[in-house]
Amino acid sequence: MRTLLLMLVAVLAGACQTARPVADYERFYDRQPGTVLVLPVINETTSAEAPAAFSSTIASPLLRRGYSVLPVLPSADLLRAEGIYDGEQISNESLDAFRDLLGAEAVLQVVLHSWDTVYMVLSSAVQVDMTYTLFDTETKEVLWTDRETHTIQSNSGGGSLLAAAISAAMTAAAVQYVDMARQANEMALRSLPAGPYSPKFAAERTRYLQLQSRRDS
Amino acid sequence: MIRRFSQFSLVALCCSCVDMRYTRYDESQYALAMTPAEEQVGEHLEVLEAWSDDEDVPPGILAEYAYYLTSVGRTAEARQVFLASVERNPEQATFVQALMNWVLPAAEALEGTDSQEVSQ
Repeated sequence: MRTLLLMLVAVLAGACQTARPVADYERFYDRQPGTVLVLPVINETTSAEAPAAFSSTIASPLLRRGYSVLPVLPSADLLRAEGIYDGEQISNESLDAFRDLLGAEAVLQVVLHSWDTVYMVLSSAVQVDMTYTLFDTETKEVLWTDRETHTIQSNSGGGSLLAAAISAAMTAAAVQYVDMARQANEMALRSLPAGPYSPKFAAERTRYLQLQSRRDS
Repeated sequence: MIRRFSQFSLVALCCSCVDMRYTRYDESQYALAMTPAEEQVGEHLEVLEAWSDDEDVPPGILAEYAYYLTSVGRTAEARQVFLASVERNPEQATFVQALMNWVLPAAEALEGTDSQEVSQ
């Protein structure tokens, strides 16, 4: 009986806690950006491979989340040929160009702050720190932004100690950038709402608007 | 119960096939970004070509396939794939036109495309 009472108190105490703040997606749902241009990654690290790995693995999670992503490599080639964007500061003029020339409703900028290898006994990991920002090309507003820091484990080799040791060394040297960048991108994009081309978009939007109206009332 | 298990296995297999498409796409993109050589273009083209036949090919894949077809001189084929990409994903029409203007010789406007070419 006493245990039951204690459990009941715990449940009620949890229910009375202040609700977690709802992320502000008001501008996102107002604009509903469908066509996204992914800009070349801004690299603040000393790694030459990491930016390519991030650029190569960011389209897939965006596509799966219901965005119409302009193909990354061809659009980067085109931007370079037009001399529009050098991968650094976004200006109102460049946002206009992205919209007028490429038809992008939004651009995603990724800044890679750090990519540090951490060595352990029989494996290695990479600590990544990156910022993602989604800009609206018409209103110039930030629709979504997130800064993430993650530690990504390498896949150690098989079951033997020797294979694991070799794998750790090889991984640190170069091999699994793609897999690690993929994991980092997927984790970071979890907070991005489903895009307009996703079957989940309408339900997520409705849920968000309901939470907003409850918070406001 | 066996039938349920078979159905579940089929769904799991289909999901993993789709995941493999994305994985192969990511990896060949990375290889091409790091080494933009003929061999890597060829491998990336194979990945895109395999995906282009899918009923659920994601937006942008056909346009990218057409772009790399032009880089290996398959211009006529590229033009058809560009047109198909716009039909499939009209929201990318502006982008596709920009690409066509850049990589195809005397690319016609999508609106004024010769009706004979569209029907071929």
